Amino acid sequence: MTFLGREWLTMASIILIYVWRMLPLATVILMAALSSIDQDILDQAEVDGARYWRILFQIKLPLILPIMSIALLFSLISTFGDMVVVYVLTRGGPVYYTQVLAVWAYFKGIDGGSLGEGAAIALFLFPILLAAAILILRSVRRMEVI
Amino acid sequence: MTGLKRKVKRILIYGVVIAFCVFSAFPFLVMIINTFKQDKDLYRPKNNPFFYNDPPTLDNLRLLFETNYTDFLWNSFFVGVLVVIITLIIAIPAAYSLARLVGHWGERAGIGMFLVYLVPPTLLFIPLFRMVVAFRLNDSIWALVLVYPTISIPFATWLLMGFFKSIPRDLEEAAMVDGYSRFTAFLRVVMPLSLSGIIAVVVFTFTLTLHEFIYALAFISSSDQRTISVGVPVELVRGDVFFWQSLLAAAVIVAIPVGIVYNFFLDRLVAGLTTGAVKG
Repeated sequence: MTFLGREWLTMASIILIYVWRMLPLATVILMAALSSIDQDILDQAEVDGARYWRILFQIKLPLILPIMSIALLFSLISTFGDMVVVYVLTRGGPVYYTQVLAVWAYFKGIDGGSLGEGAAIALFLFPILLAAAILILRSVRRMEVI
Repeated sequence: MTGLKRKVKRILIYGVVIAFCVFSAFPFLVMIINTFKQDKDLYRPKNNPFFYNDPPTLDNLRLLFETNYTDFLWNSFFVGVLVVIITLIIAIPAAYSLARLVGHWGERAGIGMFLVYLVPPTLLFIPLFRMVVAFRLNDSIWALVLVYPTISIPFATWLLMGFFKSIPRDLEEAAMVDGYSRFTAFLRVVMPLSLSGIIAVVVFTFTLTLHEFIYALAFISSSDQRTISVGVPVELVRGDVFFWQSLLAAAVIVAIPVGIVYNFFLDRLVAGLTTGAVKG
């Protein structure tokens, strides 16, 4: 209880849990992206004298960037709209220190019975998600070029 | 010199991999150890949390099965299977027609579908709550059977669309020249080739119904209709009292079979996610 009672530790715990939750999926996606790179390109780079870091930053990362951005934005969206961890662990407490929009909307809308107020809170998720969606779509577009 | 360098490199690689595995698997280890602990062992801060300072016990499992846990398991399974079936029935034809039949509009509809998928459940549970009440489905798992496909179908369609697009049109056309109708050509030629995508959809949809929380919490309030994700925390956290060992046991019992099944399909799942993403 002391662990979830101290303010910054509470937030740190919640962040760590989300990291833990997203990490395996992101790893698997990135692994697939890395193994889909054409070996010829890497061999050629090595023949041309590129070292490890140069290959990593100038060949591998740019090639997997589209898939990486998908993984990034996918985790962003699913974490941003999520309420489970906060609801189960802290209910937004201590006081409002870890409150997120989703949980607050639930408390106001379903528990508190004023659906309108809850809906208004949930609506504030939308602008940020829209921005993220546009970014995703742009990266998907870019992918079709590759 | 190069031998030493290679050795250092190996050690570094293995070090990173092992650290990663420990980070990922650590909660499961803690769950399994603590499931069998006695209360007085668990709550004494001086005890080493990774050993059994007192002899292990099965009481916590007994407590778990005295709640409606088996009902929760059955409900989750039932909802999961139904939602998977509904999703496949709707998403496969939808994805196929978006990929092949409607030409330019297909792409726009696909983008629209993807946008819909990005709207998180949290934004929608209040309007959906009103719908569920209007259909008189609140307090029944049928509400979840109705609502979960709204999350899974857009994703499934989008993913399968990528798959169907990656299969050359010539293949079906050749089959149709040889006397198949479009439907049998689809069934015999396209479906087997996109099996990875279909498996990815099944796995994704089923785990979605297992871990989905907010709809299950908002729409259902009687205990025997709950699914695992909501039922377990609601039944085993009574006020300020957490029945930790039983909670952890409830999580482990579900997580381990799902994890094993996931591992069987991991390659196909990855193929499904990346092909769907790249060709979509």
